[in-house]
Amino acid sequence: MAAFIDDQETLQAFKEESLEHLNGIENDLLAIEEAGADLDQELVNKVFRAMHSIKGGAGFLGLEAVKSLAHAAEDLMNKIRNAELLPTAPVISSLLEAADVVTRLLRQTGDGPEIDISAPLAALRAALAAPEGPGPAAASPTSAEDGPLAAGEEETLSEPLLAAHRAEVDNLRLSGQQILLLQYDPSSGPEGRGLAALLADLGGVGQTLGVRLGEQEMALPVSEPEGGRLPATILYATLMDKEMLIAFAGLGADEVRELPAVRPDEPVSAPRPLPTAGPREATPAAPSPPPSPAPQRRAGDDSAKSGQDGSLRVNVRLLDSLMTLAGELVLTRNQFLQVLHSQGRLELEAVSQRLNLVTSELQEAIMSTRMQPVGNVFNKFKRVVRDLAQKLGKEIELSIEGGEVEMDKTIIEALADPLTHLVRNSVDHGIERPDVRERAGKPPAGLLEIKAFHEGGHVIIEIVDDGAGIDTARLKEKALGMGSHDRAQLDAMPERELLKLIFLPGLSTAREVTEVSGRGVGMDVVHANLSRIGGVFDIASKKGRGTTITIKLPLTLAIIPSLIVSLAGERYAIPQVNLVELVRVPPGRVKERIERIGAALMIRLRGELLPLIRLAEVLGVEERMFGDQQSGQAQRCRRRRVEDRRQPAGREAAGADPAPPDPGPEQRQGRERRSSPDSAINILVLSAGKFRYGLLVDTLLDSEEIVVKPLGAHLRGCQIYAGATIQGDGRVALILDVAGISKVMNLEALADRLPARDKDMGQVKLDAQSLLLVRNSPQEQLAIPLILISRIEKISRRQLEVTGGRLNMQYRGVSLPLFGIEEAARVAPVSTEAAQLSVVVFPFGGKEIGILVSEVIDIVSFSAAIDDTTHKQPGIMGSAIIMGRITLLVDLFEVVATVMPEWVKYTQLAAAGPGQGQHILVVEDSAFFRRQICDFVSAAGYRPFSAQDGLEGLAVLERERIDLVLTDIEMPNLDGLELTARIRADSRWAGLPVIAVTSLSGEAAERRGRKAGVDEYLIKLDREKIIQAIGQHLRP
Amino acid sequence: MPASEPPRPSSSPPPGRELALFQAGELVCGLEINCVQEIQRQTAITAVPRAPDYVRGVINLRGVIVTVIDLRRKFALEPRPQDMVGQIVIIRQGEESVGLLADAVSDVVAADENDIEAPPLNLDGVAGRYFKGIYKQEQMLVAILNVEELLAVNNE
Repeated sequence: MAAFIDDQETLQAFKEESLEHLNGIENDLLAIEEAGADLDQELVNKVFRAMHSIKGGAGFLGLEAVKSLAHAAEDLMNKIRNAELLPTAPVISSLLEAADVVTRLLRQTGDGPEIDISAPLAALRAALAAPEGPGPAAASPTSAEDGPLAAGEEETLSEPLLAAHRAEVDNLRLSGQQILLLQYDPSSGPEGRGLAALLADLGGVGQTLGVRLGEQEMALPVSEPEGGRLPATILYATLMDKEMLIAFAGLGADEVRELPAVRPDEPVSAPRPLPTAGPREATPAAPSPPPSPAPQRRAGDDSAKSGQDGSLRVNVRLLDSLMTLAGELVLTRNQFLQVLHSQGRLELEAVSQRLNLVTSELQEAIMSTRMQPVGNVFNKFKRVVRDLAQKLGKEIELSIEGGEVEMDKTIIEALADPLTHLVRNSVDHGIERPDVRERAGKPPAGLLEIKAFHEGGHVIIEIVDDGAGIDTARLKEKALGMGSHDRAQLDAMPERELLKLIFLPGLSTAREVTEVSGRGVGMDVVHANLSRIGGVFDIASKKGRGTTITIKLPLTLAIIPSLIVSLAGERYAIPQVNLVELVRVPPGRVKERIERIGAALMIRLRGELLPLIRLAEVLGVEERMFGDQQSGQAQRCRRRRVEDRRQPAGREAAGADPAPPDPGPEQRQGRERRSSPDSAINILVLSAGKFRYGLLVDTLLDSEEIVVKPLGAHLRGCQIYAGATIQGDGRVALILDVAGISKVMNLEALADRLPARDKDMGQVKLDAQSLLLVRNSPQEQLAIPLILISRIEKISRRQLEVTGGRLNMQYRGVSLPLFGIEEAARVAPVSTEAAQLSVVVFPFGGKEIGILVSEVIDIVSFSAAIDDTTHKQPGIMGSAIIMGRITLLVDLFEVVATVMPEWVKYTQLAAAGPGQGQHILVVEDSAFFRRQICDFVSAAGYRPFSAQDGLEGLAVLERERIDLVLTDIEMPNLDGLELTARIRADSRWAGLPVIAVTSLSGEAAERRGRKAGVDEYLIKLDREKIIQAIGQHLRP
Repeated sequence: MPASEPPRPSSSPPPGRELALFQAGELVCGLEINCVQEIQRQTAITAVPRAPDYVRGVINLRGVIVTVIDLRRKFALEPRPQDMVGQIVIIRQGEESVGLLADAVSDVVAADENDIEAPPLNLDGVAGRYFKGIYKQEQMLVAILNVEELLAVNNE
């Protein structure tokens, strides 16, 4: 038994090691091919050694097919090493194919079709024979290390006994017996023991199949041959260990020989039910420990299979249970926190913090054991692209970035196929042939970029090609032909929606069906596969310019960040990966924001119509709620009315009619059910991959990391759930499946019916700022750029303290100085009555400062013009109309600087202050921001030059001596990235620092900036950082 | 955890089968004891909108999500009173555990094989196929559940 385990372990270790070798080999071979005659000895040696050790191991373990291929490949590598053979494309191709087949052989565990090695072997031999006569691998004399084995093998084949008892032998092998060939030598062994006596001994522990005396097979049972004792050969089957048999029968070690399994290319005789390479390979040859009976072997094969799925040397089952434990621990922590909140006991706090920390760390550590670099998948594409490009006569330059980005093993594995499909698509349909490209004025070699990077807790994978792009006109035709859409629908569709037609089942745009793709297995399958692992898919394409495919993936499937919402008393989780944004429509705006077409609700969001569905409708919980209305609900409604009355005058009317227009019974109900205290409407803008929709929910609760658990078989039919999770209180909450909901609610059809979005789309996205709306008095709305704020705290008035004439509060163990906007600007003061106040915390001169306001209203995205004259005053940058009201934009920095001028010296502004009057070019299209930036740049002692866009900026650069450029990114005519690229391309401005200032943040935007040559990427209005960066770049 | 253990293993093999008896409406059901994994008091059941009608919801059984099937709904009996706290009989279905929501688990009996009969013909109705036998006790009849049929997934 122990021997069996050893054997299995050896085999498994060999397979793993060999697969690791093979994994690297592909890229090495490709590099060798690229280098051509300019041989990289080190690399060639590496491949040679890999093949050599695979050959050796395979020989040892009796994996004949693997051995032959590795052997031939080794010979070929040897010739390349000795410069007898050039690593031409055909040579490399034969090696690559051999590596592929060996990989498949090693992965194979027992089931599955037989793998034919004759083709790759022939290819290797052909390559080997090409330059200098025949030298086929198998025919060449075997090298030293497999000598004895090969001899045994030769004998096996020539043994007449074996030929005579073939069927029997095969059957016995299948039942786990090992077949031995014993040499009876009368001169050895116990004195005077005859052949018959030996056979009698052997009969007790095995089965004698045949005995050969000379060339003659003897009849069984054997009687002592006449004419004295002669050497005989015995074919014998036993379950016994070879060594034990030798000891038992008193034979010499060299008199017992195991017979290795049949060669794969030999015809297999009848009674083998499943002629596969697996079991044969697994039957070990000469020096390895003998195998054990079949059932165990089969079990061993199974374990080998599961261990083979990854190169993790840890039992996956153990890992899974660790994952479950970690999940449980997270839940325990949640429970613990809940207890803590409900009891508020201080002594528990320290413990809770500790538990929190440990949990997170444990979770992270365990997750990391499952994390693998996405490069494992990416690296395969070198080969895919090379082979395909060769076949299609295309030239393709492949660039791979971010291979080190890690994701859960499950995701990486599930990613391989869809990504391969996409890459093949790009090569086949995307990138044109060199002649076509040249005619189009593009370089003959197409560029294919595959990259991965982190963004906002997710991994983004992009596949970018500069090929022909997707022909939306053809997509339209196809869609028409398939009858999925009519002409009017298609004509009304904006470009982005048209591109999404590609996900329709059965739609392929390839002009002719090629071998490579376009076989009807289309993007719909890719889309479905990616959705299954929580991927969200986006596609952008410009005809003639190329296609960019973006896939957003979760880091792991087991624990996902989610938004918890509640409806009718139950909680539901929505995976954050699907969440695009939250839109809150205040009561007064519902009427104008939410529109209807027939029974369908929609909202105009930045000029685009977004279909809306109500979660209540999705879940069908309407009726029950309506029934309850008579009793408990009425109470709540009345109370809300009272609250509404407390709102400012302008909201009175709104409070009376917060529902969409035409409030039919269904609508009214929708309104009454909203239980959030301010009765605004919460819309989750969700991305289902193909399109977006808005989900109306009652109440938004927390954002939580949840542990995903599967639902039982009875619930698999419910498409609207992705699983369930266990909440802090031990109850189950269902996880909504965003794509499933859109299917069940038939949203695709609804989306098609939507009129095309407005034409004013273009400008709205430029420089959109997120603003925090606050107020001190109901009459006056103030806005603070969200990006400058560290956080917002709700405090009770009792927490305020007055020290040294200034307001402070104790906060996280330190004193937080508080300022009122009214201290600097002429605005209404903070309410003196409200028990609850809000503090907006932001960094200032290396410490934190709080701005005290009566109330935080909302967060809005704002992109219209800012008037920076009418209301300009200390602490106020300007004004704008936001949500129908004049809103003053607060300048946080100036508020503090006005009240406490001496504090400014602690800031970077002062530290870098001694600007030497260097010239700084400020390129910014918004007059407001341009003036803002110029103001603080000159305040810091520099001389600003301004330009409205990149073209103007270039003109200024031509004219003036500029020491540093501060540029916006989104601008008309020539944007910041293009401007930077042009500056970098011109030697006159070599070394000129370029700092991008923008309202867009995120890794992707920053990466694009860096790529264009931007030195620093900063947030507009964060003047401290900007001044600091200027100081650093201008310092010699 | 309020799980009542299966009864003492009988020293000699009983002549018939051991049945767990439980009530669903006016119906007394029996389930072979070796099918029963455990019995739970009814805890918070999370409703699953759009689930098949007979699914009462899901519960958290030590970190595993278990689907709970309402026997009253499954057998088209009259609905349970709002305030009734039932018991959940947890049984295995292949890889997963499924809960059967019953009004109360009453007893475990060793049923004599001779007292078990095939379901009478008049019991075919809607629910008939869910029973594989009738066990005659002195005071009452016990319908022995056909677990396979009962747990068959129909996602029509």
